[in-house]
Amino acid sequence: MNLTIKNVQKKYGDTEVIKNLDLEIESGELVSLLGPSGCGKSTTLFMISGLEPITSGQIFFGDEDVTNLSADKRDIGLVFQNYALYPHYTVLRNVMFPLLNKKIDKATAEKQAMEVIRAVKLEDHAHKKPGELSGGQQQRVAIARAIVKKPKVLLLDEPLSNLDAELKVKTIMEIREIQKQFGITTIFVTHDQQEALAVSDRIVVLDRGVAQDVGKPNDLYRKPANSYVANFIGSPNINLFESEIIDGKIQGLEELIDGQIKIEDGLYEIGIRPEAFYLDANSKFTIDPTSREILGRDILIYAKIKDVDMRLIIRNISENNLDENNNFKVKLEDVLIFDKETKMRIDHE
Amino acid sequence: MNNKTINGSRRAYYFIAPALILITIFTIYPIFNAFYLSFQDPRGNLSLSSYEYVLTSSVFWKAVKNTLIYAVVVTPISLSLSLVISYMLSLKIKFQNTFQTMYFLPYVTSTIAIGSVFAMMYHTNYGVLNGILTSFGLSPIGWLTDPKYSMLAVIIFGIWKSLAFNILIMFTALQGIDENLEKAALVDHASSLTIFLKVKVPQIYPVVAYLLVIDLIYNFKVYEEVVSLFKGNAGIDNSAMTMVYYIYQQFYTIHDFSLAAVGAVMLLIIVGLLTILNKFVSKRLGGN
Repeated sequence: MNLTIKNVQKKYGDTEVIKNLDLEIESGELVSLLGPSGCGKSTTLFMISGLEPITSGQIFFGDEDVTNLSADKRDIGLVFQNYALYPHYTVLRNVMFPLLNKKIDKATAEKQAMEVIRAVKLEDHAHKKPGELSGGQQQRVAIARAIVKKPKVLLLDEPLSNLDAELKVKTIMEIREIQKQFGITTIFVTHDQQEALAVSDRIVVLDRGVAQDVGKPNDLYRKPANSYVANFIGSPNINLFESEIIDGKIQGLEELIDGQIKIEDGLYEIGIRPEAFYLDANSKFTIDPTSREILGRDILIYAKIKDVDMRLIIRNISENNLDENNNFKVKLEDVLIFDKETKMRIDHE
Repeated sequence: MNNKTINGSRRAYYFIAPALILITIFTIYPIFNAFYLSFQDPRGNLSLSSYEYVLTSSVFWKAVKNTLIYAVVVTPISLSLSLVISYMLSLKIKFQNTFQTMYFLPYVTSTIAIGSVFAMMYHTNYGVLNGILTSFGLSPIGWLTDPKYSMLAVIIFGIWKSLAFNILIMFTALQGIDENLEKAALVDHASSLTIFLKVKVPQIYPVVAYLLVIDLIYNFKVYEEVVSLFKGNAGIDNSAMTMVYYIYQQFYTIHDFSLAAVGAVMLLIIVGLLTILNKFVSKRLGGN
């Protein structure tokens, strides 16, 4: 089922939380709503669920306008941040609950529930209460409960934020697998870019109620719409600084970047990702590192370049090796240039 | 190390001593004294004559019967009504605060004062209840003047009075439920009734079980309700006699302390049995 959000706006009193959001999600797609807390991502999710009324605009599931349908009539699956499992019911009863409410007979409901419980690999725990399960298992029960009724849309509200790092990675993969297996159109709300990058077909970056960018994970990383998105996506953060570009050369970084930037002379906001730097003995560009951090295989270097504190990540290198080499390069295509006023990215190739 | 611990616990005893002394004087001693009194005959000799008198007295058995009926009727009706009302109060409605205050008010008002108001409402000729009955073409009832209806009058008053505390506790418990549960249930196509009965109420079972015990024990001590309705007697022909009223009457009106003590011991035995039963039942429920 494809999903269309048309010009949706949400106001609490005079505060505009969502400003004219437009979004098309294709059938079977997994789209993340990514943004810092307070950006309106959960509000958007709850508006799609019908639990939160919208101020203006329309929401369509397929061709059906569901804008004025209440949550119980929208046929959605919703997974809450804190799972919200019914603590007095067993896992099986939790998963059966939506089916029984739809007046499906008990035997059929039990059969369908068990199928989904098997899909989330909890068949050994079907008769336990949620309190007896680990966080990750509870999360899977919540997912099973959400998908058992074969919803048109599956909505996940920060489903991983209560899990520890190791479990997160595992659960991300499981969610992805289940979502593919059932082919459910899914919206995934998160503040964690790594989760979003790992799991999504496309990502919507939200900030202060405005969709800053919509795109595939790799496109958001390589060609962000603006410097806000460039800064939000990628870890550690991109190096952002203002600089004059004259004759296609960033002033002070002439030796760092080969080739000419095809852009008018002027003052721009420049973005270079830490991992865009690489060692090149032929380069005349050297730095004066202030400190280093060993990240296992890679090394993170802090240095002042053009009076700006920058981060450089050099891949696959030992400290000794780095002591002997201090000549760096950045490829022209890895330089992001943004308009100083509008912050929008400008193509320069 | 060990010495320190012993000294530490000795100090702890000093700290609890004031409370222990008060409990001993005002709780433990009276209990034993009541037992002792109950085995005394009017001349101060040890005997079972008081038990013999009380256990063969028709007034006492009327008191036991009335008390049992009162506790068994008032407790479940009050709990069910409280559950429904506290749930309605927990919904986001207009004038929510006003309604809350209205329902909590009886809790902070004196039973005697409300009892006087109820006595007026029950009045055979001028009472509002009979006014309603007659307006429907029914004949008026002698709520407080016909022995048949005495206990019914006490029970209605008792239910009304016990609502406030039950609602207060249940309302607080309902407020404490994770609101995502309700949202989840809504998304799961649950009706309002299903949300109430199958999602919300199970979350406050422990509180309801607690109130069941508290109410039952409290209701076995029904006394003020009778006094305030019948203005100092137990209804015509002792028709609203209760166990605590019986104890009171033996003690303050007849001045037979031994008979009063027997009544108190009998009440203690009943409440004690109830407590044991409750322990047993709540263990079976396993706190779910």
